[in-house]
Amino acid sequence: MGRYVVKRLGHAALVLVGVTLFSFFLTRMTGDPVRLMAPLDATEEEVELLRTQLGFNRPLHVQFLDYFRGVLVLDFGDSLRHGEPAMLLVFERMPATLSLSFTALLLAVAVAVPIGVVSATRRGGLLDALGTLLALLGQSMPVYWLGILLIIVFGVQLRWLPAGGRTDWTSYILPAVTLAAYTCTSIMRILRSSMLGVLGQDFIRTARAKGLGERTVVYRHALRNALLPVVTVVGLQLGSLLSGSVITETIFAWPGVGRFVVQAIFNRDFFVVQAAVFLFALVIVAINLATDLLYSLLDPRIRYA
Amino acid sequence: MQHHRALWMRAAAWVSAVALVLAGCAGAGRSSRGPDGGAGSSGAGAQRPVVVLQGVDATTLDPAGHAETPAYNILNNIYDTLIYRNHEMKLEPGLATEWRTLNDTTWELKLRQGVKFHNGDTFNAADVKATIERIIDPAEASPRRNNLSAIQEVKIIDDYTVHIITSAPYPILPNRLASEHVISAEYLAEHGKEYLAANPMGTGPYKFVRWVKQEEVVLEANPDYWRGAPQIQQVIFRPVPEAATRISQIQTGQADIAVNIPANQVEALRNDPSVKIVDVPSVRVIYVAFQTRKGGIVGNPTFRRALAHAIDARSLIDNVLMGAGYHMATALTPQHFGFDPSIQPYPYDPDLARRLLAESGYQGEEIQFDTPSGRYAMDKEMAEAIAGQLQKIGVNVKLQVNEWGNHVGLMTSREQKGIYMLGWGNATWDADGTLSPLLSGDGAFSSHESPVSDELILKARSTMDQAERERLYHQALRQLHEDVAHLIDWQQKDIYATSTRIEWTPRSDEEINLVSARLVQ
Repeated sequence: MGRYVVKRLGHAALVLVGVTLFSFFLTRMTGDPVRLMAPLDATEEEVELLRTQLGFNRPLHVQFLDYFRGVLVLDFGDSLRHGEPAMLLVFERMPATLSLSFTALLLAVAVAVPIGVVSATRRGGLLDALGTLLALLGQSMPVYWLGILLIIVFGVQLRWLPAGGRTDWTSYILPAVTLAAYTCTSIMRILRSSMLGVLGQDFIRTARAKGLGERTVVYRHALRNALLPVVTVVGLQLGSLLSGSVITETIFAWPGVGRFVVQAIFNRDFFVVQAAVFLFALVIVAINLATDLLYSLLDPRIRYA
Repeated sequence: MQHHRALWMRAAAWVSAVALVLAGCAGAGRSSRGPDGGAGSSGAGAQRPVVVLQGVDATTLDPAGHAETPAYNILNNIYDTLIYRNHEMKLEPGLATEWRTLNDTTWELKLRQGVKFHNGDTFNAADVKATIERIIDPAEASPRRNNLSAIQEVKIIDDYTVHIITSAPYPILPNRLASEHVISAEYLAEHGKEYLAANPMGTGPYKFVRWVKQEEVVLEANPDYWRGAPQIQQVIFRPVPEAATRISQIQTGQADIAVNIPANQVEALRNDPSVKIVDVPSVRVIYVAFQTRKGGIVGNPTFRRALAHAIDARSLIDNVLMGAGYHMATALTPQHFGFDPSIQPYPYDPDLARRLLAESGYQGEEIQFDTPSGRYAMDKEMAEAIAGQLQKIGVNVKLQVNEWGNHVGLMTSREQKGIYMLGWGNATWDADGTLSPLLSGDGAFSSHESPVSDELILKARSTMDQAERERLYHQALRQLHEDVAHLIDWQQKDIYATSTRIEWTPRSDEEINLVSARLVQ
């Protein structure tokens, strides 16, 4: 187990180096940030002076090595637009994104697990049919459409909930539902099919034969085994929840990282984009590692060498 | 050793950043405002704050550190300017009570006495000197430097008199000063630049309370404001990038003023009793111009005239812009000094256009038309419609849609090939601010050269006699119109949505001044 973790950490470091390299050169391919920063009527000399001040006149590989050396000591450069350390700016916006993503994830799991279990145990029943319909809706509705629909119904028409912004807990409801819709229905479908597979296995029959109550059989024995693929999905979905919050954050005027990075891309604020990409990569790598380790906790048959 | 310390400090910064993230997770939603926008935090019986929605947040709150409207609008409620621009865009006394020229390059300003900054300091000549010298100092690299670069020196004569010396005659100095916010010299010296940028402190109608980046800037009324206390007690500026979200926040009563309402939403909103739609002709003129410097067929004035007559401007503005624009004969609006009402737009006449096209010797060469997308209201769509009308008379137009950054690069390097679209918001309200950069030989965005108009523009620029300047601008505009330097000009219409509880009139220069707004309920 220990060796496995070390090996996976090594892989993670490699991934992060790759991400650093890629994000650096990809941003450079989008064009010249100095043009956007200088006032529209700046003279050619003023633009050149600014370029020299920012170090963009140096050869690309020199700029990269300089940046990479910075990353090694956790210095991701200063935002071109805000003049503050890029990583701190991203960090400042992280709470808004994380709190929304986790709320959405909790909501998704809390709704999906009972529905998924009931759909499987009462296969073919009315509840199963409703669950399937819900899953179909959730999987096929585009995020921006659902978001705007919720705003129109619950914000503008009924006036029950705020239409945007982050104020008190009520402002979490609409964006969290929007963000959770897809994840929730994915979990629901995976859990239903994996539950069906587990319920047909010998050990479930044994458990029933031992005279255990149906509730214990389903929740203690079957659910625990059926959750394995769900953990994988949740892990994967958390990554996409974080990065996928861009649209939701924009629609609901949510002050998070997603919206901030979109602005940074338009402004060619390279260092902010790089810092955010690095941070997202770090989070996703960490989630994948945690998912793999959770496997062995849930299913003692899985052992890593 | 040094290196190790830097590493430790960085590690400490990271740890505190992580703590910040966790704290933010736990404490999200610390301020409590219901969906009605009610002020849970400011106590019972207090007036609900007025919420203003702009598209983006300020990058900084340093008056010398930005060149952008959203930041300007926030600062304008905190700071005063030496000279005010009133609702009719005319200049009137502000922190300066009078201004006059002593000679062609020396201006004398008399300053208002008894004005106090929010921290109690008294406003005087030292503050004016500090404000201006900071902006013109090349070491400060202020994005506002171009506005004031004509200023050489600011001399303090006594506590309430300053002399501003320019390097050449500069008749539009008062226009320029009307958009510079006056800071406190003492406050800057005491706290430094970074602190000033995060904690603005001025003499204006509102005091700064707090700025939570990307979330809100909160201001409260300054009861001792020298022009009288504002009626609205608390103001909150919020960034909301999506127009649909801005609109729905007005509809739900979460906000009171929202900028940049798309013209295609106006009809539906007029039927909503909880929303008021207000609009105003903008300072911004969008234009489609020719690159005439590169010769070729675009360098031929007959060809350009043919194209100008092929454009049905009325139909474009009605159908593509949904009425949110005004057709202009030149790049100046009627509110700009130097505007010539006698010049008429080129009339739509496709037959004349075809005749002129044949006369010009056009052989079907491909003409590239560069346009930005998403920068101005319906910019790409307008370009498509214009290209379509040009194709109808037989011009082989190739439309090139550019990302904004690339488009600006193309403009400043003068690499446009044939036709291009750009917008210009000349907030000096003087012809010089449009004609020099856009239409004179060495202007940063000029793609047209004409010795006649160039000389007139240059002369008007350094003439102190206003009547003479106006005559020179009229002459220059007529020459440029004759040359067909621009294919079409239209003035943008700025559209705002407001809640019904507020009475507020928009301004042509996009400023949002809450001191002149009233709550009606």
